[in-house]
Amino acid sequence: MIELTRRQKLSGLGAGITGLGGYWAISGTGGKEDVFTVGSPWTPDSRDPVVNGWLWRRISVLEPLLTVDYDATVAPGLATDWRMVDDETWEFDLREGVTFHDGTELTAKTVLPSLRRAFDSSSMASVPVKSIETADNRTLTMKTDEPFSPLPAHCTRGSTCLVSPTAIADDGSVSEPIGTGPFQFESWNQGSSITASANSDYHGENASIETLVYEGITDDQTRRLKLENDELDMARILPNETVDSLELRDDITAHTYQIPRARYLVFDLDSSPFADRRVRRAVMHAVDRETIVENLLNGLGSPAVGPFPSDVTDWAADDLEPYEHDPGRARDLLAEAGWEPNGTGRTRDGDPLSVSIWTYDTRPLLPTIAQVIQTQLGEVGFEVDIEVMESSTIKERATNGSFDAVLWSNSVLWYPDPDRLSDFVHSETATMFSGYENETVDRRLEEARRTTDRDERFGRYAEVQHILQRDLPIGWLTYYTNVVATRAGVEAYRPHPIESCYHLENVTDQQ
Amino acid sequence: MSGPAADTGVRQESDQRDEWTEVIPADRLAQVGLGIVFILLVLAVFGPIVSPYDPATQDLSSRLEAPSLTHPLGTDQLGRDVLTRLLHGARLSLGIALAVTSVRLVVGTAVGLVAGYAGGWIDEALMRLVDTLLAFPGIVLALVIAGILGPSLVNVMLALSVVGWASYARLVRSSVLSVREREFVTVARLLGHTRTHVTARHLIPNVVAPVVVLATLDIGGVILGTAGLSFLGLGAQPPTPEWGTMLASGRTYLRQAWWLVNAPGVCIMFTVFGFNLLGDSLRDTLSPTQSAQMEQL
Repeated sequence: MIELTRRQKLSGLGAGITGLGGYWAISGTGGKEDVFTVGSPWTPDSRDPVVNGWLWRRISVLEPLLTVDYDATVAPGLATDWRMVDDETWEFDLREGVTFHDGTELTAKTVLPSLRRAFDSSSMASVPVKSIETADNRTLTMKTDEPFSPLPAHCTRGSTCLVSPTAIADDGSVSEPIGTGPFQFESWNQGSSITASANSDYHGENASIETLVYEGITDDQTRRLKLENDELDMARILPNETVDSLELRDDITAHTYQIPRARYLVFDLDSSPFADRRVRRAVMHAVDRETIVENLLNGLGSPAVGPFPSDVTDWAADDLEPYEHDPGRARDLLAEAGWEPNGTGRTRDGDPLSVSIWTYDTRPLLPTIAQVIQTQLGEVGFEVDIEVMESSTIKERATNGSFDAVLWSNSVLWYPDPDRLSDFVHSETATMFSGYENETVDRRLEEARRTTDRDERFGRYAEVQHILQRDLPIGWLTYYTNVVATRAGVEAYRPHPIESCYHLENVTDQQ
Repeated sequence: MSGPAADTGVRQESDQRDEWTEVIPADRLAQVGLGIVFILLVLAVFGPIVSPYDPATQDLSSRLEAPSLTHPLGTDQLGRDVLTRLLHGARLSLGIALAVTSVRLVVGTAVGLVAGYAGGWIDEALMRLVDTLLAFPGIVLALVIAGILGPSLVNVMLALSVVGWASYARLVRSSVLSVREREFVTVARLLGHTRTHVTARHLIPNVVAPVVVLATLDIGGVILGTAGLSFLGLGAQPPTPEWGTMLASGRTYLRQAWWLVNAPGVCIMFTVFGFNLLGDSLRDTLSPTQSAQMEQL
């Protein structure tokens, strides 16, 4: 019994110390040579490109067939040129003079196993590739089941990163990321860090950094402290609030840049009250997005209009009508929809206007934003509950059952093609669980996949954006601004708009 | 109500009561514990009434303000007064702790009484159940239960109630086993009193003291458990001002706004500390035999 008591006392103290813990958690070491350490929230979980390729691509160990340039459009990668031969056939010319890290030369033949494996995998299931063949030593032919113009964009995805045929075991598994990038894999600790060294045989300009260490650090305060203690040379995705204090420091440079990512509300169109479009519109008029950006995002980011931020991509329809903050209009819309004021809230046929917003906290601002939305919706008569859950739990519950609204954040262009809209609103392929079904939207999205003409495609995607703006299956709230901080000696770092690669091979580090 | 035996039972109980009130003030640590608990109760009851702020009203223009005269403990990421939220949180934490501990106490005592008094296979079955529960680390089991039920304060209370009653059952059973062989119990039964009467009149008064001690010690644990589960996101949902939730959401602002984590952290620490000091000295104060009994557990 005495034992138990002591333990309880100790654990009591422990809880208090948890609060103070952050201050002492980190002890600086610093003073390393030729090693460039980057800290990011994502942990390396697999060496298989199909699973974790996007991470290996970001640190330039693996490279895909095509890359994404700083304008967020498709650019040459391991393939220097690509063309549509007929409606369902594409050709890719491979770069010459490229060798994998194990010395294997990159040819159509050595690329094939890795590429086939990628397009057969479940991560690429939405891409209708029928076959991949070699046309000659330097040319690949890809056939699709139907005309599919976003194919080049999908060839930039991390899952399609190429590994040497020797890296693929007989059972089809990949145990080592033997790629073609400017850095080659040395060692890793699953779930925490990767060490890579400069590849002197790189087909482009060699990296000036000799050793690259990637650390997956989920806690953003820890990343910041490690940067301040010289344990990191670059800390990625820091909280917006840190920018002001980081910029005051001489030894740290803060980069802020807009990315095509949005925070948005996904409404359940199959259940009351959001089945009614007027109620969804009322939400959009009730939420003051300017205030959220100004205060919660520290002015970093901007209120969203449609899915695409026009500063980052020219796929944004330019004449979308934004939903202005107008609580009066919101109240009118609710009254129109039959929700009459009753006390502090509203009721229709005796049912209260009460909704539950689900969100998750791995993006730390989401629960805070949810609370602001809760208050702002409260002002027009909604009664809002917030439930903070694991994102996977939300997905599962929202896909299999009814919900009200989910506050979510996702990239709207993580492969550089507006076909990404299909993931949001196409009635058959959408992964965003709103239950939205609109024949015109489906048809336009499918048509846009069939043509490679940019103007024709743009017209269709613009029409879809306009329909979405009216129908509001998803309420776009704010766009994203990333904060990346480096130590002051780090030069030539240029933030990539869709973060497909950190391009650390271009960075120099004056210790 | 006849016979000297019944009187013996009653007298024993009142003797203990006298002991409590006499000895506690003399014990320095107990005074500290009592003081903390008393201050906490006063704050929890009157604090929210006195505070000029509302715990949920946001003021985005004055977010993350450092402690000042208008906001003695600063404001949080949504401009809410931290002190006000702590006071409301104190109410919540104490309320939950009392509720959960009561459930544990009632369920545990009932099971212990039945097991101890009935004996035989009932005792055997109940005690194996208790063994099973005790074999699990309480907080881990609570984590699993709260995880399955989904995040909410009520579910956390349920989870903590389910896991915590076993030690009460053990304690009560062992007390009952020794008390039921005593002469006054035998006499009461020979006099033809019903089981219910014997239990209520003679058994419960004699096992209540150690149970109260255990409950006092337990309150600290429950507060810690609630805060812990809420910290992990299984408990109170925003904007409920719960200490653990406040700690978790303030963590993001550790460097900009230290008061967001330190204020609830220190509150949790002192509360648990206070209840544990109080419980400790209560146990020491009660007769050595009972201390010994509890140590056997």
